[in-house]
Amino acid sequence: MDEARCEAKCHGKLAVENLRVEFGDNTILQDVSFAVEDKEFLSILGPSGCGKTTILRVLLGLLKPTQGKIYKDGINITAFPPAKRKMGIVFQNYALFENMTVLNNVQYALKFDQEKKKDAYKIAVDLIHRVGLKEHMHKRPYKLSGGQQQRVAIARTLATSPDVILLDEPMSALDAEMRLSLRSEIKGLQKEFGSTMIYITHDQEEALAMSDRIMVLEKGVIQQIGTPMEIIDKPANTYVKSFVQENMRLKIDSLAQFFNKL
Amino acid sequence: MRSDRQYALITKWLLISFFAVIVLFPLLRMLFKIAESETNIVKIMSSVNFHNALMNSLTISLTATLISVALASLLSWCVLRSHIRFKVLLTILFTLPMLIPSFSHGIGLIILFGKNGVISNVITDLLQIDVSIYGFWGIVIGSVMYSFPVAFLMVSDILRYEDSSPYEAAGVLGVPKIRQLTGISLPYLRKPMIIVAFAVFTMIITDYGVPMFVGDTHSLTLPVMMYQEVIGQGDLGKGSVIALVLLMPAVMAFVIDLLNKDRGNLSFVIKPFETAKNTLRDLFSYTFCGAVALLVLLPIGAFIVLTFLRHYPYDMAFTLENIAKTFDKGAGIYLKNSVMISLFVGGVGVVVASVTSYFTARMRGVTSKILHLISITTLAIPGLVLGLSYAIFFSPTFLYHTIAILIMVNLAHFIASPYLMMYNTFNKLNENLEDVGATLGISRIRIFLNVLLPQAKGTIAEMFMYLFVNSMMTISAVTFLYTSETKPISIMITSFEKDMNWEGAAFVSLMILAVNIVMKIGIALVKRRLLGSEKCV
Ligand SMILES: Nc1ncnc2c1ncn2[C@@H]1O[C@H](COP(=O)(O)OP(=O)(O)O)[C@@H](O)[C@H]1O
Ligand SMILES: [Mg+2]
Repeated sequence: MDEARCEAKCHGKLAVENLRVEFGDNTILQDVSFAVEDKEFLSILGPSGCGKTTILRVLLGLLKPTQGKIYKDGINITAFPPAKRKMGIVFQNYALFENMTVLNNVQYALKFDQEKKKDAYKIAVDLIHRVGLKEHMHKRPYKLSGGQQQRVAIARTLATSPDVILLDEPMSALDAEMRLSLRSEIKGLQKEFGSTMIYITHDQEEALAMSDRIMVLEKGVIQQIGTPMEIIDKPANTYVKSFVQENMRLKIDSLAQFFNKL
Repeated sequence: MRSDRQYALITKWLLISFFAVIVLFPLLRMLFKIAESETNIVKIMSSVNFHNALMNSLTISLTATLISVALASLLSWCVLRSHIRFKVLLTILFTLPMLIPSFSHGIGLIILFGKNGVISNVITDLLQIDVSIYGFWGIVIGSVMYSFPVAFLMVSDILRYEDSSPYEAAGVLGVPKIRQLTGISLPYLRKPMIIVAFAVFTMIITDYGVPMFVGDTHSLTLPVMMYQEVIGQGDLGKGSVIALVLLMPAVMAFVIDLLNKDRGNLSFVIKPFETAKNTLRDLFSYTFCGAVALLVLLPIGAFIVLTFLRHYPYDMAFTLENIAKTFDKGAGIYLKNSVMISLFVGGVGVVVASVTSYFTARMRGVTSKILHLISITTLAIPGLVLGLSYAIFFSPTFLYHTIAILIMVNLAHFIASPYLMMYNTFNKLNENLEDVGATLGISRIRIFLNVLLPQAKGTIAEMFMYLFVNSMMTISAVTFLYTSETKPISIMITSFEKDMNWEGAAFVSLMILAVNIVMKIGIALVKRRLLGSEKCV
């Protein structure tokens, strides 16, 4: 335990130590400790209700943990307010400012930043170009496709140049085809901006395909943290094994069906 | 974001204090009044007069509620489940009675069916029978006339959001229509229909406009009795006891709301109805809707006839004399008073309702729950009761004879509905907006002003209109509180009734209707401009 703590504190972009969250009598998160490396893509994988969003809310500072510490670049940020943590968020439903254009969505936060206020417009336009929404700059979100809205949400987050970007099941509102193409798009954006990303999902395949490492969560307890290969080859326990394999079998079954039809 | 939280807490307590002053304290003071004036509650309540009035109120309200809800249900069904044309026009016509005071409906009945009434004269001439609108059935008819539009709007909402898929499934399975009604419609409609009936019942049993005008000695109701005790005898204690009884629906609503845990917005995918072709049904719908529309227009037509004809039916010459006379009696000043009060109530009410619903819909906490409960409860407090409690509570203060007290009483009386409108709108907006703001360093206040409110423009317009229209026509809430200088125009109707000046009463009703129609059209235009083709809640 002590060893893990030191490792968590000393290394990594972000480190979480012995996190515990309780709502009344319910323990939602228990002994959650992990570290994220700089520019890493870490997935938090687990079934619905296992506590993924709760971890994210604690990391962002939107929820005070019952116990535990959070370090960023070696600094204890547990008591920092959300805005001071330099962490960005892309919610499942994107939570865009529907009354504003794409441009205003992206530059809105910059207008309240004393340093960046002057360059708000330039920064926003540049970001919008880079996420490929040039033609849509003056449109309102409801005119965009789900994938485009997601890019607005990412650009809006990037505008404040966060150190870590968190994405909470960003694909679940999209159809299957869209999800596939957006996987590489998100990875591409991560490469381009050199961001550290924590990606929340309940889709095993998505996690396996995109992540540097995966953290498997069940009932608020970490079951295993490892690379996709490790998760498949050396599942830490029967839960991880069945959770991953069950999914792989389903996928293989449906592929087999697909080929049979052909 | 500590400052955010502090601001929020301060504002919440300010709002709670505000509601305490405009609702809670006056009502509590009224209860104390009963105790200190040595009014014998048991004696009053066991008196024959009280007993009769209570029974009259209950039987009249129950009968009128049944008719009103049945009529409204059939109307909504005709409008929503048929292929008739002019649906928008019909809806506008059906809701027209909501723009004039209940007193005007009383006047309308008298003008049409009273002694020497427009229609009773015709009937008497033709059939040689006397028609009398006074009494039980007159009150029932009047009550139905002003309450069915509310029921119509509520039932239409329920039918509009009814899911058609169970019916389709039942149709495929060959379940007979009558079993579909008992097996699908009734279970789905039972709870919302009870809510509608409760709202209509509360509205009718607390009204005193219609029973005061068309009631007789055998049909004295509680609100009329209360009015007579307070205005006639100056017995505030006895009035308060009756007020206590009239508060029962509000208390019930409060308790039900406390017990009702699942207040969450149910939003599932609904398959709208596809109405089949059915000529017979459409024909029936045309006839029925047309007949009701005609009945709705009848009193308004009578107002016009009375206002502009010299002496119906003997002298049918056009005249502006009635209008001139009414203005001589101060209609211009009172109209100005009313418009000013209504504008203030609209403006202040929009702010209060928006801020309150922001806290209750978008923030958790005990204070939010308290606020929600207070705001909801005001929905069922009768205007007459509120007015009396104001007269008792504020009479020692400097506010008493000012126009401010009229604004306050209207706010307290009408704030609940706009509050609920905004509460629903805020609940529909994305729940993570404030969280996104927090991570981006944008305060809650900015999100509220720059993101939430702009998306609620339509609701703001609706709220303003509701507050304005209702303040414009209310009589009950202001009846104990006005002075000769602050008098609202609607009060002229009661004075004219006393003098049997039907022409004046008709013209004042028309004026209120006209102002409210102008406001409605104005708001519709503003909404169209604000929203355009935009997506908005
Ligand atoms: N504010 C809250 N109060 C009480 N329980 C909560 C609250 N937020 C989340 N929970 C509970 O915590 C558990 C984990 O929720 P969440 O983190 O949203 O799960 P996930 O994102 O993995 O689906 C759920 O059982 C949920 O009901
Ligand atoms: Mg979640």
